[in-house]
Amino acid sequence: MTLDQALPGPAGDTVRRRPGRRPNPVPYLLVLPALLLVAGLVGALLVLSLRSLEGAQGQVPSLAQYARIATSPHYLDHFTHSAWLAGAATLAAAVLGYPVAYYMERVGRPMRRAIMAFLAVVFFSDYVLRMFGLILVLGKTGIVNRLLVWSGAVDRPLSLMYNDFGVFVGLVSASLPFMILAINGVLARLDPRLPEAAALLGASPPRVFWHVTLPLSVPGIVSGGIIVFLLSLNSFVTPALLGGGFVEMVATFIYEQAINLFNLPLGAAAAMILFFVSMVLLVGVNGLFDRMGRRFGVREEGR
Amino acid sequence: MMVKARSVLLAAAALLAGIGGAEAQQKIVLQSWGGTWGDAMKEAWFEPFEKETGIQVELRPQGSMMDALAKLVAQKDRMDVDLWITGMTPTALADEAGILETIPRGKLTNAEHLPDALIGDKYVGVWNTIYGVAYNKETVPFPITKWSDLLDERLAGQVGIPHATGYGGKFILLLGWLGGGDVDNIDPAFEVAAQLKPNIGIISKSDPEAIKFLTSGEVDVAAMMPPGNFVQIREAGPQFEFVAPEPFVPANFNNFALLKGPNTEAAVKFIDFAISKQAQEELARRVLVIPANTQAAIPEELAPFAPPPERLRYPDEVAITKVLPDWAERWDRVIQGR
Repeated sequence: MTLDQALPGPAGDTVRRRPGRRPNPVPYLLVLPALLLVAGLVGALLVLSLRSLEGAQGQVPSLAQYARIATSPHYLDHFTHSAWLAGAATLAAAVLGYPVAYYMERVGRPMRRAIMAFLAVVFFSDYVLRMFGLILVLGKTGIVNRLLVWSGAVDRPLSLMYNDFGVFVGLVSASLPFMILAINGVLARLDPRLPEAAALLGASPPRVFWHVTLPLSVPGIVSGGIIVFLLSLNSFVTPALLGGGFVEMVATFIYEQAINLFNLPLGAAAAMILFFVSMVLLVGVNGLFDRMGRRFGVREEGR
Repeated sequence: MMVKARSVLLAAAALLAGIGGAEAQQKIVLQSWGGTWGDAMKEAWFEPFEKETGIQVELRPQGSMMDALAKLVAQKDRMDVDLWITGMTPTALADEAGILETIPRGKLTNAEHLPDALIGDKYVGVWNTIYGVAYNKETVPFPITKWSDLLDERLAGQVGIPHATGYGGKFILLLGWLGGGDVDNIDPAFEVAAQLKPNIGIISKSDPEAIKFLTSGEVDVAAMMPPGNFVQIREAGPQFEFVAPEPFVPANFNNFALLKGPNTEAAVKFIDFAISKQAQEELARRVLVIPANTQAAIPEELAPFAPPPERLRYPDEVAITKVLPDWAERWDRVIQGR
């Protein structure tokens, strides 16, 4: 069946092509740029996977690069440290983001719109500039340190930047809007009669939140969590700008190998591992999400 | 309808004529550093060269040399850059990748004024640079005179250094020299690095970063700083000082590499122009480098910083290329060791 044959009619029925009529090329032409883009991306990934199969002397196929990473505690440390930082950033984003998402559902429309507008501004502002903004706030000569020294709270500026803490703050600040929007999306769809029913049955507000609202918003936390975790795990700009050279994450390791050391096969192998881990995580959490969806009644609604 | 079609044809013809006119002027593309360096090259080289030959030079700014190398290799089959200012390590790697042309020495009338070490089939030296220390004399409690001063405990968390592969690993080699080692025996470098670690405040990935960290007060000392960067640093205030520390000063030369680009012949003309006495002097005084052309005078402003030749140490960059990945891994273990 061709594309124009499959186009739905006004009533949602499939339009059958009349015999002898020439197929309409427009839908094909419209889809072509997107297909080319996807083909380009998949092609790049294929090239990368092929380069990762080069041995130390260029022999192919070889799993030498993967073996090198798997057997080097130093290389593996980049993965575990990245996962640790991404996990911590995800947890912090959930803890900080949930109250905001919840608050957005409790306030009037003007305030909700104001928060949404603020999130949109953060969303569309330049990522690098946001990171530089953090340097201006948390750097040794930044506002926070100036205030601390000026108030006499500390003798010398604290190291708030160019270490794990600086990268952690950067990851959280970069990904917080994703978490807020994901949780808010679920909270906004909650049936308001459920917490009302719990309250009518005598549950206190904290109990309603703990036993009704929070469990029902878990899908939002999970989907926000997976977005934040993967964004943080794959982050390059944040550790590059805020790590001060002391904090290497997988993406900066890949850059170091592929660009600075001109060792594309090792960088490609690390990139493929990162890709594979991300995919497994995504598929695994999707499965979990489906099970949770069944439990919380989301699945039927979504299908 | 007829009038409309004619107008469109005329407009298309005019456009084509315009494009043709633009192509009439020959142009070469030079990949090199922008900022202070790019401005200096524009004034000292591009404009007079265009006036003399009619050939335009377009600067394609680069970040690190290795980053530039990766991009050039990626565009190997559609190379649109003719000339590259880089170092010996990237030159060797670029040659292995097959993106370099042999430079026809016979066509370089000024080549005879270059030392033999600075010219080969695939490279022509363009300037020598030294690496010293720039620091804030108002916040550093003592005058820095030697490299070992960087280990002083009063500089805890105050020293900025380049990353492992920065300047082709020369900072690692410098630490090796200080510990009594060399390219073949680099272990002492990591022992000195371990001693230096408490004083390291930041590791910069590029020259602009190193300049920014020092001038913004993030660190008080910037190790491994070419005087060319100090030109920019001193604009931030008189509190900054440059010193070429004892006992020796790492030095190296940057070089032209001729790429398999579309205008190699014009690019060779440009190389010859850039290594001429006058062009070398004009550039050297703007970015404080030592000219590659032995007839060209060393800029007066560099004189206070420039150590006597016997204190200069040139690393074997091609030898470093082979061992740099191992050095970088060991370096990360020592510096980032968790």
